[in-house]
Amino acid sequence: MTATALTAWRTVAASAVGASHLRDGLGCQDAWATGRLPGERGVVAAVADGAGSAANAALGASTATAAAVAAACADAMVDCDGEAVAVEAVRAARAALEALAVSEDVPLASLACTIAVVVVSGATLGAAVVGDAGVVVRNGDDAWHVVTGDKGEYLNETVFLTSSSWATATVSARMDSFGADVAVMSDGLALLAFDGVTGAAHEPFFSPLFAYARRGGDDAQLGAFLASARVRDRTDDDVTLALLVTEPRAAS
Amino acid sequence: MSEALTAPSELDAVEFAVNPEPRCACVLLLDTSGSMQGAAIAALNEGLRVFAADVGGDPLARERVEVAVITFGGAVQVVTEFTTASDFTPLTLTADGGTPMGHAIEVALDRLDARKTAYRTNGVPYYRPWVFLITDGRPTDDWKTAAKRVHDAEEANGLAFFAVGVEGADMDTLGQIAVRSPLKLRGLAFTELFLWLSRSQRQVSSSRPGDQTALPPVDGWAVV
Repeated sequence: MTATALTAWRTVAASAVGASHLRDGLGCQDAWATGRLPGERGVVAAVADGAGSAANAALGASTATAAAVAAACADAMVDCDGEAVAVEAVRAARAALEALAVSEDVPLASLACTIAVVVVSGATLGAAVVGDAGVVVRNGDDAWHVVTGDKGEYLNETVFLTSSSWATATVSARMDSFGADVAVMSDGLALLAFDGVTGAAHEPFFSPLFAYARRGGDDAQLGAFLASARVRDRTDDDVTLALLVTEPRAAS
Repeated sequence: MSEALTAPSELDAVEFAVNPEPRCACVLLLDTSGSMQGAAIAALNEGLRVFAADVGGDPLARERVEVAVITFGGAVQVVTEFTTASDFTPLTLTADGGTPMGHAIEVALDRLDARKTAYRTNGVPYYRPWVFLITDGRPTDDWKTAAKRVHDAEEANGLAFFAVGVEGADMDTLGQIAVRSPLKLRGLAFTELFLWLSRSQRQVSSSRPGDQTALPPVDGWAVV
């Protein structure tokens, strides 16, 4: 096998605080984290969206994403496929929130957040989601997949990682990692990212972002885009986007 | 004009394309029977004007809250179809006739179902709708079917149904129609009532997942 047959994964991610959070005197309650699996087997990205009403939502979101990424990168998971790792990462995030609630002596519900985790592990790509966070995967030009968790009928309803039903509400999927482009996002981007009727990924939104990430986009620029009027005109919520793309690895 | 363009569903699509904001539907179900004549209907009309101005003055709620007005006084009348708060101008209501409350509730629930279908068809996210019933009397028609539908809809989390009784209202029957305890209006405090409704709708229409929408206190207008 030649070195060029392998792919290297690039991650670009950022959050931006929403106008409604600024108005209410809240900071950004979204969080993201990325990491590399041991032995260059792949990458992981986690995005969590803290509930606007929960007192410690920002802490919950950052704790959940850090725990999810740490779990995915653990040596013990090295032989597992991407979906199994993603589901385990969500479980670890929930466990971290339970532990934090005890150590900080705060109600678990005060740490409420939704979460989406994507793990590329070798040839497999896995996604696991609780709540209305979402994952979009493009495998080739026409094969678009959307993974999103249970959400209620109404805009202000969803299931949180802190909910008692978090385990049954976890939605997961497994795909082929080869040549995939991946976006992990909080629900603040839903109006831009998805067709409101069919729920399908909005290709004109994602394709330029994937191209940008592959070209070497950086976190700060992506953050500036998420904070720009082009996004702000459509949503007053916090927004977070993590992009995972492949690039041909240069032969050494 | 072509037939397709005049079809309501086509017009819905245009409306939602112009304003893709999430919607929060609110049906005002108002008793305009003969007993409301005089000071009561005048205070109700003033309350409606205050409501329109207050919701319409909130930059977010004016694009998100949709108001429909259905009256029951002699006949059931859809006075205002669902209208975005920014465009809502209440008509001046007059009072006359009996109190067909049961039929009015059923019309309100039918209109809400149709509106939710329009939201879904057009991919517009929405909040749990409200039905807000105000009466000073008792139903003069069959209200049991309507009450069952209200209970079923509340059970399914399909709406929030609030009932307010003005002096003279049959609070016992209202209590059987609404799942939530009906509230008794203090005197003719319609202005305070509608300011409360406006604040509640402004709060709901800006809420995010997980928000425990604790409604503002009702002691400004209700007998507690």
